[in-house]
Amino acid sequence: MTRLLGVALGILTAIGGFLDIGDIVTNAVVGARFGLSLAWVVVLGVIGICLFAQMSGRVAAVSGRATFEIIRERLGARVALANLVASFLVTLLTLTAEVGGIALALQLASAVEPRLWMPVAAFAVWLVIWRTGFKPMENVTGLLGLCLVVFAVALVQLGPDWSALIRDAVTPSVPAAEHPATYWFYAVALFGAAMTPYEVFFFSSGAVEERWTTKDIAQSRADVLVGFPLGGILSVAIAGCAAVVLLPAGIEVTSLSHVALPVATAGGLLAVAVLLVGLVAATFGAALETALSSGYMVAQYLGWSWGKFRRPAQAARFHLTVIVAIVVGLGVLMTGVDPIKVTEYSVVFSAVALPLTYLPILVVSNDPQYMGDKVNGPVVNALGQVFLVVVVAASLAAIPLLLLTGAGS
Amino acid sequence: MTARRRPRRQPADAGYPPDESVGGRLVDARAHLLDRQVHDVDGVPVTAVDDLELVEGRAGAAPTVAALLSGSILNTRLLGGHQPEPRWGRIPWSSVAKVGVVIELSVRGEDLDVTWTERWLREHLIGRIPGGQHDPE
Amino acid sequence: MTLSELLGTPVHDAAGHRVGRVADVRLVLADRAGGEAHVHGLLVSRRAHTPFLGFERSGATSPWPVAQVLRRLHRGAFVVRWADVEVRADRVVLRAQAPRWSADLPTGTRREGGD
Repeated sequence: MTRLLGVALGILTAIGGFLDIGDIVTNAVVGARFGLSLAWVVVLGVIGICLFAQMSGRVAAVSGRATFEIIRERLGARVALANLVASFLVTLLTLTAEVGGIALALQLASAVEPRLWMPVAAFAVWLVIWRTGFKPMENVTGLLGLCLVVFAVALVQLGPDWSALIRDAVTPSVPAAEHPATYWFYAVALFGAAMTPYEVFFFSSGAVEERWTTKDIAQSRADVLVGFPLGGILSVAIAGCAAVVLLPAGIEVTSLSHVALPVATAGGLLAVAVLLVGLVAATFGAALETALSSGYMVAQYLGWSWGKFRRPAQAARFHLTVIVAIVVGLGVLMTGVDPIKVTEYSVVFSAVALPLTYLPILVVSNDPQYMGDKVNGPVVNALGQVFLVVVVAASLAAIPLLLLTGAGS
Repeated sequence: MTARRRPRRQPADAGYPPDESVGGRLVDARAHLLDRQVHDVDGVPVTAVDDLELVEGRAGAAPTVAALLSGSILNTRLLGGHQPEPRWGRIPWSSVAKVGVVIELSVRGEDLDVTWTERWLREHLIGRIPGGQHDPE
Repeated sequence: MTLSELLGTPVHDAAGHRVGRVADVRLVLADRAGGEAHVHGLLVSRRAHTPFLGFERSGATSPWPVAQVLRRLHRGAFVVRWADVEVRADRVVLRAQAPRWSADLPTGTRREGGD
């Protein structure tokens, strides 16, 4: 019975932890402009993140090594450093967006100016990393993040024309009012939002934090293969809500209140209250993960002791890196940038940085020196190579599309 | 195109002449030592191997590995140039117990010079923040 | 001398033709812990001298296309014994008729320590 509960907990946490500010904002923006015609990107992204989260978790469980340690061993110091710098900057950008997202969600709840919430949010993120255990941290934010199910409930409540929605999703086309380049720009952005680069670092480092062995692979597989697709369904639900309420009214998503509007329309104040809990939990959870990931990647590259499983004094440089990352993120936010804009840029740059993370994982999960007999099977490899092509294509297309479309305007 | 006379290549399986014992395990320095993680005797990470120090053997014998190098030597490796020897962060080769997927030492990380930044930060910063010395919940 | 100073150095044969660069240094580790590690020879590679993802000498054969590309890049690598080599300021010179051994580590030698 406790095993079943454990499995359920893992899956629920995976669903609730799937969404971050990037997913929430990008799906809402896309839904309000393109309806569900980009839903296929979410499907693609979910398959991709399932594939790579599973590979990186398996690598960590079998070899006991976290991703950036392996990247340095495999690519050498110079190339790995370039990888580190790029990945670190993108993760830092994402961290900034997440902390901004916490502040925006709290503003929605309290009508207090976000810039007053930002230092509070940043401090709270640090405090949780400093004092809370890894598993409780993941479980609480994951379970509370499940409140975002309210989007799916709201969509049903809104009583949309389901056949029209499904048609839109299954036979995608560029809407008349939009330019194809903008369509593909948002495809790349949505892909970057679903396949966040830091997730691979976080997942594999988390596996080492929790001391996974080969016995844990099965549980992790269940969490990922059941949890992530269900989380993907929530992503599509967010786009669906925006498509049903915002698209006909021509409302573009430029703030979190636009994202919340469909939920308010469908379920009133109670639904919005649930939504706020979910928003704070999801962005807070993602802020924790990106802050920790910044520390993980630097510490693993340089060979420092790291991890929440050590007392902070035994992983001093790691914790200092995490603190610096949070402070820098806060500093950027306090200059007054729009956190929604930061989010939009963070997902695009995530798409750019994707190959850096995924190629090493694909290669190492095939290497018998690290994996013994638990190397990738042929199906995983075939899928993995297809996705490598997709990931590289998205990465190469991202910046040109960003410039061409003026970030989607 | 000048024809190049290639010396006879020994076949892969011939290995090395059977009457010559290699006298130990063969490893490749760049493939198996460089950029590897170094753990101390308790399994705590110490550093990554940024370089190796080789010293000439006595009387024309082959050079030996004197130490693992780490720290600011990485800058020289990445950017070029030459760093004076006293500034190298050294882990003497005699401290190495085992070379595997990670390099395991026979000494505690605390006792090594290369970890001084960790100790300094512990004493002066991280250890001073409330809760820094507590075991994780 | 540091390892990184040796790596990448151009290698010439006795006649002065360039044959490649130092791709790696092969060491012999004494069996006991803390024992000496001495240089056995140099690994010379004709082409790309930077290892990439460890393919050139690991047993991994997947993913297939990537492996094939990288194997091709490292074809023609060989080992020369230290006694057959002379290290100069800016280059390494092989002695005349220095035997060139296969770059693969001898079968039966475990490449990685156990876990």
